[in-house]
Amino acid sequence: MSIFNKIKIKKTSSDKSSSLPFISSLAELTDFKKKRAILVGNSVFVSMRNVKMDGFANFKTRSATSLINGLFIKEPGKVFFSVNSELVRGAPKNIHFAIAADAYLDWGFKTKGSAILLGGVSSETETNLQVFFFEDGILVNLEERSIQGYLSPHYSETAATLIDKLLENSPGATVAYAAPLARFNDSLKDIEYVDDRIFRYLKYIDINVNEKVQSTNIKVPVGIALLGVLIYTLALGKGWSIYQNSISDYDESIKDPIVKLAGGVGGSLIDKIEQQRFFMLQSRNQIVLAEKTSSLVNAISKIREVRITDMSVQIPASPDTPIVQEKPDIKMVISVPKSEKSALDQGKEILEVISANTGLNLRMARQGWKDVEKRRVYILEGFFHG
Amino acid sequence: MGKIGSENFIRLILAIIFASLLIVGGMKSFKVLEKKTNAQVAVTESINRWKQSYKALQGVIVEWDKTYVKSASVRDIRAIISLIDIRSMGLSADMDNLVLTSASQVKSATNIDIGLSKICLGINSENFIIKASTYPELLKGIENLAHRKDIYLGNVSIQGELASPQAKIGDFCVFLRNE
Repeated sequence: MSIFNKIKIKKTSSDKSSSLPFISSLAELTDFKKKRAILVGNSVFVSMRNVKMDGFANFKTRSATSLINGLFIKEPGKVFFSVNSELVRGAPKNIHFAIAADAYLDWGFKTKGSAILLGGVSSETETNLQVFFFEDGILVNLEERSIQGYLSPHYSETAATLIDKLLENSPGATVAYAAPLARFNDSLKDIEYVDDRIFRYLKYIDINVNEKVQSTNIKVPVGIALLGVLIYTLALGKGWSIYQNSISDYDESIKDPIVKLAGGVGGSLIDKIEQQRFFMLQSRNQIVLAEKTSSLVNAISKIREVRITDMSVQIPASPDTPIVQEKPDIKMVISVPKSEKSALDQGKEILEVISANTGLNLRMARQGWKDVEKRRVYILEGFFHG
Repeated sequence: MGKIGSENFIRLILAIIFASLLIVGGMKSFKVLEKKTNAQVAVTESINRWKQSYKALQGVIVEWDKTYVKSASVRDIRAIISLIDIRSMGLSADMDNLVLTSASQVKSATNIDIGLSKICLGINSENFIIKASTYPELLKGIENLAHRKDIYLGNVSIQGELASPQAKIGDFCVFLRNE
């Protein structure tokens, strides 16, 4: 650790001297031999509002939450870092600067839930505190407080009171204080001390001689590129997982034992079952057949003297098959006692009677009668209607 | 403003282009996967619809199996005779001389096989002749036959003026299911 020599800046912490170069004023840069410096205290101004402070020049702006988190949150807000203009103008050319608060933000973005971080710098006589309020990795508020310097006996006490007050407003929050603040005494030993390690990844930049700090261009391209990569992987990842889900849905669906039982999925099976259903439901002509036969026989048996020799009933033609008009549905052979009338006349009589009794339209078949001993046999035919 | 390097500017532009390509590429891949997913989902959905229809028709399948006997379980004429069970309908027939006259597959109105066989029978290669003790019983028996879903009657011919009432059934068939 010899690179970071003895600190010429007396303002930083007491016992365990921080070996990092914290600067809070231009004066401290006069004999400054190092290549890098971390700006703290009055040399910087941090705010969540874009206010132009007199004597301060804009150093950097960043989001109030981490890059990743920022993708999911609408308008997380911004943090504006400004540095003392004098310092900017008077700084040696080859020194690169960073702001301690930058690292404080990194700590806060990583911390879950509610968190309060006290940062800043203590001198012998006064301590400039910056209080950072975080919620779920987003900076929500920023306040400045001033308490005694580290040499004062009331240093820790005042800090304790302040912390109690803060906790009143945000109960259950994680409270911590960071380098380069001077350590509190044992009464506050429960409060976590965030040490120099948070400064490890600070980015140091070259402050321009002019007020306009030209710096971040190098960071921006990388940022944009990373964003592109991120979106690509997110989109791909999202698309991929949706696809995977659809495949597993399919697997689930097809695994159903019903599918196996049915021997696979196919339209023809459903059709077949439908047709089976129709077949079973269709009005059964043969029932009509049987019923009509019965009713015919009964009707005719009531007619005195008519005897049925043969009664043939055919199933009425179904609507699809072509109706053969000549073939009658009903064909009957009856016999009656021969009367004095001619066969034809008697036949007509019989037809009328039978028609009246059965409601059927009958006619005599061709050569539809003959005499057999004492009886006359007629062959009649007819159709069902509907 | 010396340090606003054209270098940095170029780097910025390149980064933006790179990122845009990735974003576009990402979107394209997403779209491809999306298409595949949609196709997959469509298939899965049609499978699910099929399953719905199939389940709804389960009742039909049960009814079908109840109505018709499996042809494999009807091994010979004897089995057919007991299946018909002519006596239960108040009729009698010369079952010892029962013969098969034809067999065919039943087709639906849409001309597809519905998995049903029609086995037609006669007595001594003539029509199927049934008898009963009285005409009313004969007629009743014919009605009973007609009501059997697994039996088909094509036409009926009542023979009158016989000592013993009888009827001829032309086209007397039995339906058996194939599976």
